[in-house]
Amino acid sequence: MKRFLLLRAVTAVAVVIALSGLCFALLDLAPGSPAAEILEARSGGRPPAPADVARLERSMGLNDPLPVRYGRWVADAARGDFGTSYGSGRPVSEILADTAPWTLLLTVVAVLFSVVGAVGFGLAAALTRRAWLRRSIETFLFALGGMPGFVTSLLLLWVFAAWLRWLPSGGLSRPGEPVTLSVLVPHLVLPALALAFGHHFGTYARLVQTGVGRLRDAPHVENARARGLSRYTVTARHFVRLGMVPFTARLGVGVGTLVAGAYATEMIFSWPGVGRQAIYAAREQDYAVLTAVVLVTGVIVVLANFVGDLAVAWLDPRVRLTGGPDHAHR
Amino acid sequence: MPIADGGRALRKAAAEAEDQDPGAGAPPLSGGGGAPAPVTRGLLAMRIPVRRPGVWAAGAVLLALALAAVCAPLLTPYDPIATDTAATGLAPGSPGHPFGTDPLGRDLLARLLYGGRTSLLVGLTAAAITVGAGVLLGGIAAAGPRWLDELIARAADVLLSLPMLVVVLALAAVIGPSLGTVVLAVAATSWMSVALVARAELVGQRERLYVRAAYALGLSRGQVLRRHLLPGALPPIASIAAFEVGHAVLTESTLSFLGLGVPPNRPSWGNLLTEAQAHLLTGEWYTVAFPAACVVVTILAVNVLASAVARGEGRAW
Repeated sequence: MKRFLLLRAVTAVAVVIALSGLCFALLDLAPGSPAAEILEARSGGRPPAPADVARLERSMGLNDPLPVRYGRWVADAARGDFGTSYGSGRPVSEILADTAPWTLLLTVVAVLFSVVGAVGFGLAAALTRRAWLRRSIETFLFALGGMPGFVTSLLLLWVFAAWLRWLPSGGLSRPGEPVTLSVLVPHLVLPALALAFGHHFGTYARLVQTGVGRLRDAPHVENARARGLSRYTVTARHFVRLGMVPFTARLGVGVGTLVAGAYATEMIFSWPGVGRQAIYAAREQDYAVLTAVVLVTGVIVVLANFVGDLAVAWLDPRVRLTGGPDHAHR
Repeated sequence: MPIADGGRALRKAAAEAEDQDPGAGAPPLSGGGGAPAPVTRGLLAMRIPVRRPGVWAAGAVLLALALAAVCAPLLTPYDPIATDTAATGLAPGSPGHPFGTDPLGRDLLARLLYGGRTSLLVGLTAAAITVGAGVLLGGIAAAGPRWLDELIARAADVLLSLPMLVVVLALAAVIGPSLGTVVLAVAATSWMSVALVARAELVGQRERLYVRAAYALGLSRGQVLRRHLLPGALPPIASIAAFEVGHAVLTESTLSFLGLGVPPNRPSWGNLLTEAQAHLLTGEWYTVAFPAACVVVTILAVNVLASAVARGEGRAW
């Protein structure tokens, strides 16, 4: 177990280091001078004087050699200082602090929906004796699999916001208006559903279905039944738990896609999160914000993968003993 | 659906391919004489389950979409960009505009057909470059020096553990929106799965009897690669390539939808959806429904074909 955790942790750190290099390259290679952009943003769009640009460039240390700039950037980023937004002149950390909680809320609820839904559909498909039910679940999941995340969002928006008018289409935060729970919940349902359904939902449910289905007649389950354990105990303890392993392993990886998928979902439902900010930043070529968002998203994803590995190790003792999930399940 | 992006799953697949008993599946060296069954290799070795109607239907749908995109000027008299103030916001089924027009009076059918040109072109090009780069890098990893192998494997690991859309977004922002950007961004973020499979296949085959026999017979490295290694590795690569096409179409539409892919003045399915999004709430559902349906149907059909290839492929050995 210790060796397994250590191995995973080392990999995670390596990925984060590589990611920081990528982000720095993005920031450094981007066309234009950050100093000029910031001055322009602060003065309200007037082109700055070359002398001012040069002075700011010197004070920002933009003329230092590459390793020095990289080292300083990493040190700043580690302290949460991502520089100044080119577009608005605000500190990037402030923008992140404003938007990140919304994205976190959205993705956590979406992951919950994803888990509950996938386990529900997967178990129903695996345990039902009605062929038509299994067939229709499988068809539904396959159809979901062909849908890009943003199409799922548009579909839900159309059905529930435009046609049935059950839920609002977006526009959660209006300046000056506090967000109360009764406002938040209806605004949260559609984007969270869209995020959950739009990203590997079919794969998850299928993994639950095959994972559980394969164990249904496994020797240790037969044994548990023969010992006279109740149907519920056998189901819950002896094959559902082990049957969840492939699904949990995949979910850890899939959270990354979900976080990234939140970009489009947030745009469609005008959710005030990091993703929408990233799209705006990318369109306006605000590389300071974009880099910070990419870095933060990447770190979240790496963490999610790590937690996924931990969960698998907890569910399946064999992983703990052999040191990796890779060969535990065939 | 298995649009593979799970690093773990891939590493597992690679490990399985390497674990295979090197000599077990080796076909006999000479196919002549009294050999019981002719040995087919390369693409012919794939047994696509042709008796399944779903596979035929998917193929037919894709063919029809591709034909419609290629023959776009023959199928519609309208210009996809030209606005017509006399025919704004027509519903589907209007005379002369079977799919209706958008609020600027542009014919929706024309925009769908020309949009299909862009989307399918980008999808196919991106998938081709992805597969080409993946096979090349996988080949280098399998045949080249050990440090290169390590380097490629680590680079693939890092890219696989990053959310693809984030990387694509960063790339698209730096290079600026264009067709080439989309193709490059897709290829840069999806070559890894192809490379890992290609490498695993090549390494798995290298020790097989028929490959060693070929070396023993005096064939050069290039000849062995061309005649024995690559044909053997083709079926699994073909199945993953098919998935890559669907993946590329999906990525193009997502990027364009977000305003970071194909430039807005050029119709593509993703672009059509960007503009149409606002129409959803005003009641013009069809400007969203048709392009969305095109994307979904294309991806579903590609997925059906790719799963068929993937299923058939296992039986060839």
